[in-house]
Amino acid sequence: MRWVMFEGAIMRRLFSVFIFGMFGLVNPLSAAPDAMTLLRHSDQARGGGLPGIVWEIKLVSRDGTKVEEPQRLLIKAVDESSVADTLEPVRFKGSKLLQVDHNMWLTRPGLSKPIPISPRQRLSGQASNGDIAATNYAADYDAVSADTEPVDGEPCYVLNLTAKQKRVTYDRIRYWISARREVGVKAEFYSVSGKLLKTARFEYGNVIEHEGKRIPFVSKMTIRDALIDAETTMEFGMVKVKKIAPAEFDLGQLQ
Amino acid sequence: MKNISMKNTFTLALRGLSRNRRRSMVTLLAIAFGYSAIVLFAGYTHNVYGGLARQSIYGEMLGHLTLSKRGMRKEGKLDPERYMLTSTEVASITKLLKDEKHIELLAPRLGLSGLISNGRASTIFIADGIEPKAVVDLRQGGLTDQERKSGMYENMKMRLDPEHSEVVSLSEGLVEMLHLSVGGQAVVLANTLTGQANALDITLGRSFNTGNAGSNDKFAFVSLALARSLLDAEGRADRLTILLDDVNRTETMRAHLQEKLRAAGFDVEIQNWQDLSDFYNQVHGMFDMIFGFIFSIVLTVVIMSVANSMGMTVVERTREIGTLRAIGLKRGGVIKLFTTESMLLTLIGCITGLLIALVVRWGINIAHISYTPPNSASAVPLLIDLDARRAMFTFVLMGVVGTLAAYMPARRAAKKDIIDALGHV
Amino acid sequence: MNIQPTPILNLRHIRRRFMLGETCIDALQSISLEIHAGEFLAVWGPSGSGKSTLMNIIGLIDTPTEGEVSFDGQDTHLLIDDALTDFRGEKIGFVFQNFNLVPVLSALENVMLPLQIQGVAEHAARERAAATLVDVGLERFRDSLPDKLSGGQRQRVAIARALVVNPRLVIADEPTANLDSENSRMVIDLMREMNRARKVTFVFTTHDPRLLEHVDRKILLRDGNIVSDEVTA
Repeated sequence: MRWVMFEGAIMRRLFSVFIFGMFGLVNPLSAAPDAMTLLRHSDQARGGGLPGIVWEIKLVSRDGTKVEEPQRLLIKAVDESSVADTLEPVRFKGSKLLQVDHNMWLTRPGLSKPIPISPRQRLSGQASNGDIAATNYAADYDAVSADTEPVDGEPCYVLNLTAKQKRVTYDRIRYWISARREVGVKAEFYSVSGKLLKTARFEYGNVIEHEGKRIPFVSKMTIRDALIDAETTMEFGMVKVKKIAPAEFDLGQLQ
Repeated sequence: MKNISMKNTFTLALRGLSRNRRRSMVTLLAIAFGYSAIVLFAGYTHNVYGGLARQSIYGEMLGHLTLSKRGMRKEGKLDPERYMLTSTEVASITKLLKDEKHIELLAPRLGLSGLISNGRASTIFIADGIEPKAVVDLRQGGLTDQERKSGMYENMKMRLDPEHSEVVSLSEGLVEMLHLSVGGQAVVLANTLTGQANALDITLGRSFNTGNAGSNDKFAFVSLALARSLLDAEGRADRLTILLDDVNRTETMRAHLQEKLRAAGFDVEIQNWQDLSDFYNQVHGMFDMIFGFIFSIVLTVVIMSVANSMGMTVVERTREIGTLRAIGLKRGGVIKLFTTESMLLTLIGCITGLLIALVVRWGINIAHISYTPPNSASAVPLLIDLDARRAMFTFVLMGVVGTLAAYMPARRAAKKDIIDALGHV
Repeated sequence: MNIQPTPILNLRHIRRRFMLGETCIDALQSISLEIHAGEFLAVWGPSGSGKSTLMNIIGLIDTPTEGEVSFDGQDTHLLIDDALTDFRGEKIGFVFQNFNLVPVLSALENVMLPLQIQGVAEHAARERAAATLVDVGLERFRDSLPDKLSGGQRQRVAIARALVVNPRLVIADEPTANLDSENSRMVIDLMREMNRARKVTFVFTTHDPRLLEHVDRKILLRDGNIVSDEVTA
């Protein structure tokens, strides 16, 4: 019942936008919901605000013409923390990448201690993908509505996100959030100097259940480097909401 | 006790040298050539050191002194943010040292590293950020007047553009790897001091050769403004390069500035260019070792020549020695006589050697020979200075050694019984 | 002939032994001798009789194995080497068989040598040497190097050198051995004259019978002992 009403409300909103848009009299911004709320909703579709989420990623990277060996990872994430466990290639099985707060560590079977990953090392490679895939923009960024712009024909709200503090890797993000689905479909990541560094595209084919609700969840992420010809594609599968114990993110227990 | 006077000993010793003219001459020439070899080599190394000093101070842009926050050298590599001079500190120190009359230039420097990309591929780079004007000021100090007039000044490859902070100088290896040409564009990617990703467009101004294969594919010079922007470090520096008006003032100025700054509350350390120039220290060390080697060889030859010569002389003049002893010369007098002879021989030999060295030096300096030393991209002139300190030291040492070399043979002669000496055939 | 009560030289029971490997040889067995000031005497004998050894002991350039030597009342065998050298340089002059002049010094410089060794100032030494050269008749050759002089002239220079210090005693070992008869005669006459004029004691060894004719006293040595000691005239 409520769902039908909810859907009706959206249909009515879209209809009014369509009607008024035809006459060019609509100010899209006046109909947009609050930017921070939008952001939080979109975060949910990528794991934010949930007690814990587990999923698998199939990752393929291309650097110029060279295609790298595909990887399969098992990710467990809660809010600010995530741990990525390598499943394939088999010889790297057991390698883990841990993110807690804005710190990152790598560990491998056979290493006596985890290796801290410095910000410089996150400029490229798997560590940089980890930065992009981070779930929680609402905690790190202030959002301001800028515009509306369609992405692949889908109308989106464009938000300008600015980093709340100076330790966040990307100082600014331009984020396209689908008006209908309230999920982020495209993001552009900018440096302190305002230069475009990476572009990411998101698809939400998965569905998860939480507190009785069915929430769309990211199924594919494509990250393209703006400075060199390189691209990474991640496919998300086997997504489950699951409470994850804090011990999973304990550096000391990482091995 | 009556003793033969010094003057008489001298006169007799001098005459004694003409006893066997040929032998005296040969020994004298051995001493002369040995001494002149030392003086010439010392003069050459002196010149080289001077050139290297200029190369380190001006060419490598180390300046005379480098000022940094204490701890920067060691811990600063891992935690640069903490050990960098803040913009307030840079400004205050600059102001405090403005009136120092021996400081010609105070240049803030900022080092960084990151990735450089031509749009298709990227590679790591290490850069030094410096004001374009400071580059000119530093490098031109190393040119001789002749070079300055010749237009070499215009050609100094490391010039950055004061009008365009995005113009950079890249090492040749880097340029090659990225397939850039002058005017070509690229992007540099680095982290700010707080760890944020940052990138800026750059344009290739000039390329240069670091002279070292290991760094020639990584190194870059960028404008201070670019470095500061990339690191998001407004007004900051990791060190200040100080150029003085006279290289000989380096140590005194270091102590003076250290004290002055500490008194003003700045926790800084100042190093001089010698501490920082590995190349200078290595070459200096190597040449010192070679000098020591040559010196030892020459000294050994001198000792052996003199000892041999005096040994033979003493044997030949055994009867004469017996006669002198009979007519009243004491044993000590005999020793004095012969050691004086050999001292005079050595002294005259050294003076001759000095003259030879001066003539050879004049000849070489006039000849305008040049050669390309290792690790250098261009030829340098072969010049020989006069290292008065070393020449004097060697002179004195050789005099002492030459005198002592005669001691043993003379003593043997003095100890001989008079009747045996007189009976010597 | 002046004979003074205190002898200028007194040798008592002198033995001089030389070790040649395992064997020892007594060049002088037991010599006792007095020489008085102003004497002009010769020590003679066959080869191996010990003449040269006796001269060396008298000249204080050798010390006896046993026995005592007094010179002008001074027991010289008690002096250390440096003191003995000074004493000798002051009191004794030497004339050698092969002249022993320093070849790189002129006649004058050779004669100045003993004075310079004693520390006499150069110009005073020069004056005295020049005067002594006049006495031996060689003032014309004062700047000549020894190799420019004849044997006789060289010996005269040597005599001048021996006399320049005004010694008490001149020792001459075979002074005429390397000279021809004319030069020998000249040298003998010169020594005789110097002996008379300066009252310097002369002791020499010789084979030369002509020299033996001119002496006041002859001491014959054989096998290291004095066999006769004649005073003639």
